[in-house]
Formats: sequence, structure tokens, C-alpha cells
Amino acid sequence: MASTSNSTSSKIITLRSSDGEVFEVEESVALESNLIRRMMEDDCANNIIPLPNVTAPIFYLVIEHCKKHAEMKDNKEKKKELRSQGEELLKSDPHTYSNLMEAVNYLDIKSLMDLTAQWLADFLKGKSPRLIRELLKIKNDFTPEEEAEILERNRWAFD
Amino acid sequence: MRTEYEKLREMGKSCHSKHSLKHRRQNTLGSCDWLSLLPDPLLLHILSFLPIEDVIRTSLLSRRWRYLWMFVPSIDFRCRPYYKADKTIVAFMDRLLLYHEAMKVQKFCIQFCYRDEYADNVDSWIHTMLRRNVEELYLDFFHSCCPYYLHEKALYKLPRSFFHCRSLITLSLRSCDLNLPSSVCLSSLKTLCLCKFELTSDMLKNLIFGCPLLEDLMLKNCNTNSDLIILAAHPHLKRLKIHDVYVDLGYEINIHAPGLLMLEYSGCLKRRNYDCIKTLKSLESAKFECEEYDWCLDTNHENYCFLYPKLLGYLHVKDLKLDSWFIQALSVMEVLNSSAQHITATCMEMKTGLKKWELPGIAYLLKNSPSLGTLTVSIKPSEKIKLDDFQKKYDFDERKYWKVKFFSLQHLKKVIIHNFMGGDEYLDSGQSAGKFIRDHDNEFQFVKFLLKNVVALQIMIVKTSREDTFRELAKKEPLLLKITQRILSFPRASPNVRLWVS
Repeated sequence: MASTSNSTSSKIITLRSSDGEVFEVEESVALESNLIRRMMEDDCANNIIPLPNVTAPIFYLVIEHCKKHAEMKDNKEKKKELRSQGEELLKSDPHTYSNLMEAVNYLDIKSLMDLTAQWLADFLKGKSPRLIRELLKIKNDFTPEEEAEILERNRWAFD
Repeated sequence: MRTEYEKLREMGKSCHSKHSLKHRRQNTLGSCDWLSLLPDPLLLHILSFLPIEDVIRTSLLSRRWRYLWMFVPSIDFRCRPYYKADKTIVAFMDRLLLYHEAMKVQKFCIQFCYRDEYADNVDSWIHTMLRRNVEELYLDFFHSCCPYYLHEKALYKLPRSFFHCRSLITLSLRSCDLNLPSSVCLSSLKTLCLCKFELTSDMLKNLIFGCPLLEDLMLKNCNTNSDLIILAAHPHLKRLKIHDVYVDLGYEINIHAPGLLMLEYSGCLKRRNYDCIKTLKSLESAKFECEEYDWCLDTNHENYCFLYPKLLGYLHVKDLKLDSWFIQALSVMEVLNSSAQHITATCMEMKTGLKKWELPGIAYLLKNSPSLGTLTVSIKPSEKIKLDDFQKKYDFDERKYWKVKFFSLQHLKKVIIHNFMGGDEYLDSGQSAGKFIRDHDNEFQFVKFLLKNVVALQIMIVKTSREDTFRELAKKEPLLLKITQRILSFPRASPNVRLWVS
């Protein structure tokens, strides 16, 4: 990752993931994260910025998506593509998805928060509670009475 | 609390690895309930992307989810079918807001067929939202099936206090009575979209003046029966989108916006005085998407086409986006050899087909854009302008069109073509690759012309169609290979051009 030396020289920021791997990221990408931005503003980021809550593979994913997101600005086709990629990740590796979502939340990256949430929302949309429970292995811990009560109370929403 | 949560996470990890393979075969997402382990704020954020009915349905998932929906920061309700105008919807919203407890509402969106008798209910919803400092508000009360449209009194009348809301950032209104007070103060508003309103120039001026931070203004089918006068006194207004379809011929347009950077115009250009665009000195980008479907009725269409090159002359922009209608109109001008306009754009995007009567328009644009650096062509089928007599009179051979054209594009460095060989409306599935390529000869001729004439070209990206017919054919035969081979065989004016076909 060579630094380019043009006039608006993009500074390289060094970050360390929880499992000790070191990443060099362009400042413009790193500043997508409000957490890193705040750390830099507070000047507690002279050397390597530690990210104790993010592992290397997840952080790698975050950076990839940050870059893609920056690229797709004003590009509807790419936006669609990125949106549809979510389903693949959700289906193939939901564990990574939830880690990614938490990492994005921790790093406070608005654009990716919206993207990852949209992925799951797209998946949930239009599905019945029973189907969602089945697909996501959510255990129904209501008693039959409770369930009936919710149905009765919120009948206006279930019709 | 935290450790408890981490313990759960660990459990999640272990059960994931044990069963993941087995469950991957089914359509389930993972082998354990990882979703419910996410913290509330994240779940609420996910729910905020769902229509409110879906959000409420999650209350039935498990105890974890039972009350979560009440705190979702976004309420998005769009009635389907749209024309369903019954009391149950109103009762639904009333109850929803009774239970809903989020103190801060990010977004409130409602779309349904309004009736007079609901006025009090809608008032109370809006007041609730204003009290909760709503930031994005979308109100849409009308559908064309609704017979009440004709009666002014059946329109929902916005409460006067509405226009003094400090929290609103985005506002979109359709088919209601603005009931505009003499002083407006939407001090945080950045985006305003108005659909189907008749606004006097004073009203609009007053409204824009009352939104000191307004950056984006969208006017859809407004003032179809009157002049459209947009006066933005302060220079904050950066982007203006106008969608004019059902305008009666001859009403005027006037735009005064000293800081405007972007203008998007869609629909038909039937108004008078498009010269006003000339005064938009700060404009950097412009986009036109026309739908002149009733051109064939206009007997004087040849004269009508004169408007388009004139518009190009008014626009001193860097970024220009045009569609097929615009290009077909320019074709008429090119064939008539009428006066050329100097186009300043360095970046141009064309959404067009490469059919016969689009070619001269494209040539017109390229010829008159000496500073062009990046050209994007998104191939898209479009309706033909009905100018049969004209086209018969000025007929030409489309296969040879580019062969006889020579003009240098000194600064053009980058060309991107999307949906190459796409846009076929009718394709028989039994077609062979050879015939398919022959049918799309215009595309190849265009690429050939560019490669042969553009001396400074650095990169050309050709993205083939993603449409089903193309993909199916590509499965059977090495279509992509054949396309690549053909393109690679073309002579190139620029020695260092990089070619990408994907």
C-alpha cells in the first residue's frame, strides 16, 4: 500500500486489530469511522490506533465495504449490487454478518450501519413470524396464552 | 451484564461451528439464534428499515422481541393497495401511535387515501411527530383513483404550526393543502420535495426563504396549469430537480438560484422561456430525461427540436447527462446541419440506444464537446420519436455512419460503455452468437470509431449486458470471448489504451 505523494497527499493511518494484526489504511477511508475520527481529534492517535473490539478478518471486511461504498456514490447499479451481496453473506455466514454489524456499530460508520441493517431488513421483509423464527432459529418462549394475548392485542397489525 | 452477554456470544460461536455445515444446506441463516443476541440499538436500527407492519409482526417472535417494536425510530406505513381508504387504516395508525414510545422519531412516512372525516386523526399524528422532533417526514394522501381529488376541501390541510418545525431535515409532501402561513421557519430543513401542487411565485419564494439551509428542492408535476417561478434568494440551494409531465403547453418557467450546482429536468420541455437556464452561472452539472411521448401530435416538431441545441448552449457545465429523447432531437439538428453549440462538459453520460436515429445525435454531442474527458454510454432501449417523413427525406445508411465520420476528440481519455449488447426487447432464445453479434453491429461500429479516432484514449471499459437473454446465450457459446476478440481486432489511434471487456 504505497502512499501517493500528490498535493492532497492521502495520509496513511495505522490500526491494530484485537488479534494483533496491523492495518495501514488511507486517512480518507479511516475517517469514515466516527470512532477513529474522534480518536484522532483527541490526539490520542499518534502512533498505532488499537481497536480492541474488532478482529482482523472482520476489520478487513469493514475496509472492503468502506471502499465499495465510497465507489458507489451516485451509482445506482453498484448500489443494487452491494445491497444484493448482503443476502449471500447472510446465508453463507451469518456469524460473520453479526460480527461485521457489531464492528461497524463500534467503529461508528454510518453508511455501513445502514447497509448492513438494510441487508437483514430485506431478508425479514414480508416474512411471517413463524417463518422468521424457523429461518433464524428463534425459540418461541411464549406460553400459548401469551401468544394469544399478543395476537389479540395487535390484531390490528396482523390482519 | 456485559459478561453475561459475552457468554451468550461464546455460545453462539460454538453452536455455529458445530452445525454450520448441516444447516447451510437448508435455507436457514445459521444454526442458532444469533440475531436475538445483538444489542437493542442494533436491532432497532435494523427494524427501522422495515415497513411498520413487518416491524410489529416481530413482536410475536419471542419474549426478547415482544416490546422492541415500540421503540423503533422509524414509522413507515404505505397502504397497499393504495386506494384502500377505510377506517381500519386510521384506527391502525391511532393505535400504533398510542403504543409507540420512542421519544425521538427519525422518520415518519405515511401514504394512504385521505378523506375529510380523518382530518382530526391525521392532525394528531402530525402533532405527535412534531413533538417527538421528527427529522424526516413523508406525507402522501392521494391517489389518482380517488375521486375526491377534484374537491379542494377534501385535501388534507396542514396545521399552520407545521411550518415552524425546527427538527425537520427532510420533507416530502404530496396532495395536501399547504395552508402556508405568511412566515415560514423550517430552520433545519435541507431537502424539500413537493408533488402535485399549484404554487404561486410568492408562495414558493416565501417557502424557500423560510428554509435557510435548504439544499435540495424537488418539484414533481407542480404548476401544470400555471407558470413555474422559482426564486431562491439565498445561495444555499444547490440542487434542483423538476419533473414536468402533464404541463399544458406554453406556461413559463423561470429559475433564479445564484448558488445552484445541479439541475435535473425530467418529463417534457413544453414550457416557455428555457432561456432562464442561461442565468444559472454556478451550475456544474445538468441532467435531462425527457418523455415527449406526444411529439407525434406536434406538427411543427422539426422546429421544436431547435430547443435542444439551444439548451446545450445555455449550460456551461462540467457534467452533462442526457437521454435518448434529447439525443434523437439532436439527430434532427445534426442531419439538418444546423448551427453547432459549444459544449463545455468534461464528463458526459448518455443513456441511449445506438439505433439508427440516435447516431447523428451522438455524433453531434461528440463533435461539439472539445473538452470532453470522460464519456459514459449506458445502452438502454427507448421509444422512437415519430418523425417518419423527416426520416425518410434525410435517410442514411446506418452501417456506414461512423465510417465516414472524422473528428478528433483531443482530451477524451476514458470511455465506459454499460449494458453493451443489451437492451433488446424481443429476442428469440434460439439465436446464435454470430447472429446476435451481427444484430448489434451498431455497438461494435461505435466502439471501432472511438478506438480509431480518440488519440489520447487511456482506458475503455466495455461492460456487457447482464440481461437474461445475453447470459443464456453466453452460457451456450463463448460469447464474451467472441466480443473481446472482435473489439481487440479494431485499429487504435492511441497506442497505450487499456481495454477492458467484462
